[in-house]
Amino acid sequence: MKDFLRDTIVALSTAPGEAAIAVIRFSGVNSVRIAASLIQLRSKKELSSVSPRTLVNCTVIDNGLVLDEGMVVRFAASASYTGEDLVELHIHGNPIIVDRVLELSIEQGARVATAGEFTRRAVVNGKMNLLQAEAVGALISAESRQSVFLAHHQLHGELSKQLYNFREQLLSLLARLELELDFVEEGYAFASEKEIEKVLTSIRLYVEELIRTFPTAERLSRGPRILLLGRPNAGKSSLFNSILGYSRSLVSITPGTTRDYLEERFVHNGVTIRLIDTAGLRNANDEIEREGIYRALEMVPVCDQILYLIDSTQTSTIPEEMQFVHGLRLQHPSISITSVLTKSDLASSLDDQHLSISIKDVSTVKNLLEILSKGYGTKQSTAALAVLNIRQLNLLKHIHDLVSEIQAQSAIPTEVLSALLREILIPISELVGETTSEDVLNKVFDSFCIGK
Amino acid sequence: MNSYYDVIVIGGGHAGIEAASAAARIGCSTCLITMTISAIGRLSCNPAIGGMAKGQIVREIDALGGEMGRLADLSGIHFKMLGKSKGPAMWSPRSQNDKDLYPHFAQQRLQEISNLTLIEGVVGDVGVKNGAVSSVQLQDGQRIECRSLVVCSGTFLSSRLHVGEQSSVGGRMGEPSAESLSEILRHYGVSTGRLKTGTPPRIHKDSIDWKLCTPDVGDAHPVPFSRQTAAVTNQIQCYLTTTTKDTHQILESGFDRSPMFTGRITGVGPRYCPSIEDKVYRFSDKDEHQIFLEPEGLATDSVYVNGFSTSLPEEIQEAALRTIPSLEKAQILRYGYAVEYDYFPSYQLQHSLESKVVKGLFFAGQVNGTSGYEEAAAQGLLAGMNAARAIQGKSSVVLDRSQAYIGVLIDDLVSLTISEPYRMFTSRAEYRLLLRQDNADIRLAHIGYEAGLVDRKIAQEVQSLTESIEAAQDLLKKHRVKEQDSSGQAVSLWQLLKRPECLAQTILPYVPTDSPLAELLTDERLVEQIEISARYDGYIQRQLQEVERFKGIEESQLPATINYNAIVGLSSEGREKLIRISPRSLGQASRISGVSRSDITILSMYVR
Repeated sequence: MKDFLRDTIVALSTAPGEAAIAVIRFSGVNSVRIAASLIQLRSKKELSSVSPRTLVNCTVIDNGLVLDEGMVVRFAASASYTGEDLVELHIHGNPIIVDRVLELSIEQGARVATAGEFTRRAVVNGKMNLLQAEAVGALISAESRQSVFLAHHQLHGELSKQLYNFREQLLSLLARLELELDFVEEGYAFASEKEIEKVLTSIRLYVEELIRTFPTAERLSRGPRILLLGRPNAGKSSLFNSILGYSRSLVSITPGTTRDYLEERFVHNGVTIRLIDTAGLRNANDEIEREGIYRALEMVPVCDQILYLIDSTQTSTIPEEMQFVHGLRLQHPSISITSVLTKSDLASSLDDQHLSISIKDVSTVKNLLEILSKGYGTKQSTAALAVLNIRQLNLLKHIHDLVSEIQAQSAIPTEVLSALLREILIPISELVGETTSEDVLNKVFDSFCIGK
Repeated sequence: MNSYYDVIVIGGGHAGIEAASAAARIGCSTCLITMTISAIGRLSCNPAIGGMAKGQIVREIDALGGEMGRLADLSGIHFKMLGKSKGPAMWSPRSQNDKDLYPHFAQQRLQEISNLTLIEGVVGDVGVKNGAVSSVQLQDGQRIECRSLVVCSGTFLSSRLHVGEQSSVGGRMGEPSAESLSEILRHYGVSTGRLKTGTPPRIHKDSIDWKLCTPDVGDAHPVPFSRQTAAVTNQIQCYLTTTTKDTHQILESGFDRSPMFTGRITGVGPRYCPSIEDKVYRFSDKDEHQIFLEPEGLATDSVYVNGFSTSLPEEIQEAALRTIPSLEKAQILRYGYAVEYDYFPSYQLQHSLESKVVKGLFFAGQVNGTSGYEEAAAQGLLAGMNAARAIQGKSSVVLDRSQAYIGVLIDDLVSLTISEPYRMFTSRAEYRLLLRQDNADIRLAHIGYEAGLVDRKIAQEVQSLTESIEAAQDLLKKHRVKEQDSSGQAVSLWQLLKRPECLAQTILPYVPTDSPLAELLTDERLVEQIEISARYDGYIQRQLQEVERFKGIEESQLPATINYNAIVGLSSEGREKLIRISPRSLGQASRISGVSRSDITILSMYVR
């Protein structure tokens, strides 16, 4: 028998790198002992005698020398995130200090946590179910305020509650169907067809709604990814730089690796937008240029929108460009493609049918940003619940298929109906993580970061 | 006098009969100890075998080479397939049996078995050496050595009979109780509990106004339980009547004197085979309950009032009965009574039905907290088989839940903490569509054959039937015909057969007379199997997939050395049950009541 869940784990729980503060977390039976061996409390007390959930000053000691000064707090197993004794050590966010503290902890018997292991222990110890654990993951990686709210909903067990409710209803129906079968000679009928229909319909409608809103929810959780396309000098890079300059909330710069593109993230109205500039498509030969655009289009599957920029000063080629956009739309019906006329300040005449911008006029860029972030904001979407990932989506689809299968048939024999209703209980249990296989659990927790 | 038998069976009820017969026929010298040889095989409660879910068990017992099916056929006087208003998975054979003939044939059968000795006596002591059973001492001083002991003592352990406010010591009306056995076994670390069960009054057939009842006729073509029985016939009719509001009122007036309500019976009674006072109390919105009047035999005047199990005072029983249409002048031959007895909570057993604490000690039947002849017989058969196999150094026969109702029964017994006598229901079987009365031999005959209880000839017949069914299904799936409707599409005969109301007859015209299929379809058993498989096709496939899924969790072993106290996060009730029951697999753990789903998640993470 492995003692995998019994040892004490340690990890840096804040983002790595230089920062004002870093939090190192310990969980397991020896967490207090291990943490205590690294520090001296300013009050000279023992860490184990400090009341739980009280932050106290401490000094981190490395072989008799002061390594850092910080604060420490302990949580008792009965009221901690993991359901085990847990200690948080707050120190300065210097990687050298952090690494040394981790090293010292390992010397004292701690093990570096694997990805998601703190949350996994919370599940193992019954502090949350799998749906809630997934919500924790979603919360950390949420890219919009709206998806933060959605994750909170699930974290508080809203989806679980509804699923448990459905399970209760199904079990109640099953109990009565079974009674009918067990006492078939007595000719009792304990569950009416109407009632069964009602329960199934309510499950189906609920699940349908969740499935329907999944694309939105998914988009919400990662924010839109917008591809800038257009001929050379259409103004792509100017727009790219202008937007980033305007927004001033540049999150990161990710240079394209093998492909010739630049992707940057910025936050607008609480939504993380990824803008991709397809640079490097500059070729004199028109044919090759088109080829370049097609190559850029290979990125389409990961995009939500395309902005096709057209130089409004090149009036003669506008119809041809529009034609091309039309072709693109036919090829990619699921992607929203917006044609944008650039350099509107230089254009001689512009019709109102097309969106036009000029980077010299901040209001036009701002207007474009509003349009891009539309549908991702906090106010536009009102869904209270959402499916957070593909695992949940697939199980919901399975439930939907089973319910639809029953509803599509007439006069199902009771013993078969009972078998089918029992079958619906399986994906429901899997959703909340009650009968989930080890593989699935591993997959869920592997997507977590270490320290969570 | 000293003697030795490989296997000793205590008790001559339905469990004891099967255990003794199986052990002896497998090749072990066996002796059956009973208080009264002439009481072996008594139908102490209702004179009937089978019924919903129980009929399937009898078929399984027969398929494995047990006795009950044949005995029920020999002594049966009324045969009916129940559950016909539902699909074939719900069909359950049932017979009314002559209460004198059943024990007669049972005793005759046991006396025929060469390796088997019947001894009258009461066990006074059990000898255990080095943690293994070694002998039995009778109250008359006789000592018998043995290597395996199968306890099938039914409701006779420290039993009390209750009628109204009267109670007396006894195992069945007119028969003594065995006072010491549970005491002895407790000494060896086996714990005991109390249960109760009841039986209805018997009335004189001439005091019933039969004109006022509805006849409950047997099947026009009665079907025997055993594949070794050629044919059975209906010799009597049963009758149906119902209780009235007056009946219920009178019964209620006696509640304060019912041992069940006054708490004099500490054992817990069955919810599913409830007493009439229970039914009136719990279903107070129902104005009537069905009462079946079942003659107890051909040569007796006694009629069993099925559905009226009671332990109310005699005058209340009589007054209440007389408010039932047709029973206005009923003359009671024997009043209903309740019996309260010791049982051995069966989580103390392994799946082989051997005790976890004493080697070679097996338990079967009502002592394990079950109710019903069929449940008892099934356990007796497996316990007898495994007691003999243990001596022969062979591994135990353990049926799993997807193989047989008997598998469900035993797995439930060793996993569940029962609070009332356990009765089988079809709803307990998650693979109900697979576990049918019509395919018991196909499912189990090979196991009975390998154990040495089924003849080679029968095993071969079943094997060849199984192969023919597969061949016929293949041919039906391959053979395509044109639809008769305007579409003219090609469909397979199998697809045709799957349509509602479509029978093998319907497709016969499409089958070329010279094809092997035509030959195969002349076999009635085969046709029946094909029709049922077509009807449940898809669902059965899915149940089979479920069986596969279930194998994963079933095969996820939980070592006996696991320290549940060291696993943080288990619920306290779950932890306590896991320690007590020590399940052998994650699957079994998941069926223990009190072990929550999150406990299972924790365990599965723990043992990965």
